[in-house]
Amino acid sequence: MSTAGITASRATADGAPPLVEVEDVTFFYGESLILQNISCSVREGEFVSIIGASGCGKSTLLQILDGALQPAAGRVEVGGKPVAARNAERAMVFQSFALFPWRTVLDNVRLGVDYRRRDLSRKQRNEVARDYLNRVGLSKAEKSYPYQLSGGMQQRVGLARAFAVQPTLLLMDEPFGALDAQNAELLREDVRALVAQEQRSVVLVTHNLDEALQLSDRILLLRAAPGRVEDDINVRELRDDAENWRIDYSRHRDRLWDFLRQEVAAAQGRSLEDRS
Amino acid sequence: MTQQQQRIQQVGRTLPVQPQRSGWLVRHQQRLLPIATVVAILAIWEGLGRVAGWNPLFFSYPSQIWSGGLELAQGPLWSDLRVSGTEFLLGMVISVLIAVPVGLVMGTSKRLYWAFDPIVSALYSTPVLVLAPMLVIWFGLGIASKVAIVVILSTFPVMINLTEGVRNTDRVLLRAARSFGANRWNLNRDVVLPSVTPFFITGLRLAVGRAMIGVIVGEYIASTQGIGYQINADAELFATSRYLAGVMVIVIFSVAVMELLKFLEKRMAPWRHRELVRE
Ligand SMILES: Nc1ncnc2c1ncn2[C@@H]1O[C@H](COP(=O)(O)OP(=O)(O)OP(=O)(O)O)[C@@H](O)[C@H]1O
Ligand SMILES: [Mg+2]
Repeated sequence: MSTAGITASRATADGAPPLVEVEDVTFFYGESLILQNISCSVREGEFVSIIGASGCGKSTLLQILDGALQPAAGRVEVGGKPVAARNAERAMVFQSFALFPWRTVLDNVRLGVDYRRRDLSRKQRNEVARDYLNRVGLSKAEKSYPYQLSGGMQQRVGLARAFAVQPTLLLMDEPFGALDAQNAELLREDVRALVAQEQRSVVLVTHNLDEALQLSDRILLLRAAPGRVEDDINVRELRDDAENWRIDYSRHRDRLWDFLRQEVAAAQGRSLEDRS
Repeated sequence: MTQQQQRIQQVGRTLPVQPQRSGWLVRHQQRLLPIATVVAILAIWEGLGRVAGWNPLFFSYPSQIWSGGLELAQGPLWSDLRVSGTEFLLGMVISVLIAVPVGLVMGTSKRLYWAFDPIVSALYSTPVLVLAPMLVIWFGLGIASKVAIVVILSTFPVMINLTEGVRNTDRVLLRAARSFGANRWNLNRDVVLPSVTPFFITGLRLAVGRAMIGVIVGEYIASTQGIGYQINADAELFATSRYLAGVMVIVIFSVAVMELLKFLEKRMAPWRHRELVRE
């Protein structure tokens, strides 16, 4: 275990208690085995990215963590309790934003607050939503509708909606995948700032190696057909131990890319086989 | 300030900074053009009618139709409108009352959808108007038979659209709502219902058109009152001006109802309207 945590910007000790525990999870879609004996964990305050080829089951795993899908076998616990569909500790950010077109921006941000904080008055819930809208710099847009905003702004609303429920675990499925490079970069900064301010634990699914290396404490490499955890890379430890992170960075990036390239090639091979 | 800077300032001052505003006619052309078209057609029609002097039994023109309309308005028009309007409204209300629950349930349950959708689709696409004579035999010459005709015509478009609306509810939005803690009731109220609304209005629009046909044709076939009855009677008497005035009443009524529905759609589903406009 590393002891170099002093330089880390956040108080995520490797000794922090586990928040998410996944043990031997197996999942089928109908007949086809999607995930086989997946085990992994996320500690409190940790930022974990999941990388793998398209179709390897990343979104499936995320939905299992969200309680939206039930595994055929295995144990999934968040905060020491089995995940249930409507537990309060999670929030999701979607690649397609998943904003409600008939709701104003403020009403969209308030969605989870409305459902989970029934103890608060409407006014208080509005206050919470406004607060988080303000943090993503969209106070002025509260009365707009999603279709009036650019993609980057829409995903900011998605972020505010997720953070507004003050989740202990934030799940993000390729949240910047639908954005142009500049907006994606801006949003990454927002996420980094919010996660640091609010001390959230995050599981991020991404195809972007730099994103994973820059944001995460750990990276899980997922192998496909069926999905298994191939490797669990402690980026924070590597970063802390590195004498020159810039040099090491590109070495680690190359390594990740080697893995991903093989996986993508294998996936293409499989799909060709399916066709013949 | 150097000479060059001064020069730049001068040029800046002389440039036409104000955006060009186009004239009133150009800005309102979308609304003006259809009016102009109608006026032009009426004018040509009127001129043709006056100059050609065709037999008034077979041909009429705007000013004549207008006096025919005045004649109607002093005579049976209002009681006819009341009868036809009642048939239309009652038929629509009953159609909606049947279509909404059935349509929603069929959209929610896969099994019921599989079981009933073929029948509903078949009934929607057959011209059930051919059943009108039978409904007259069952329900008589009065309002009831026309209401029945409207119901068999108008229920299915509303039903089908509601079913499709429920089935087309965005799965990602359902997932998002569930993920943020929505219960079943929340899902229906906050996701399904708003997504169904535009489909419902589309269904209503189709239903209104069919209901109107149902009322008029029903009255044509067998009745003692109503706009359709009046039109038929005038046509048989070769009172062409009055006949065409009756037709105009129907046209005005249809346009008014359609505009009302468009307005409702803008009010109840503004995101949809604006999304379409934005493209
Ligand atoms: N509803 C479903 N029914 C059946 N199979 C599914 C369903 N959803 C996904 N799959 C299959 O499960 C596998 C894993 O899907 P998943 O969406 O988890 O992949 P992913 O890693 O998120 O891929 P991507 O990077 O493209 O988002 C894929 O092979 C996919 O075809
Ligand atoms: Mg995915």
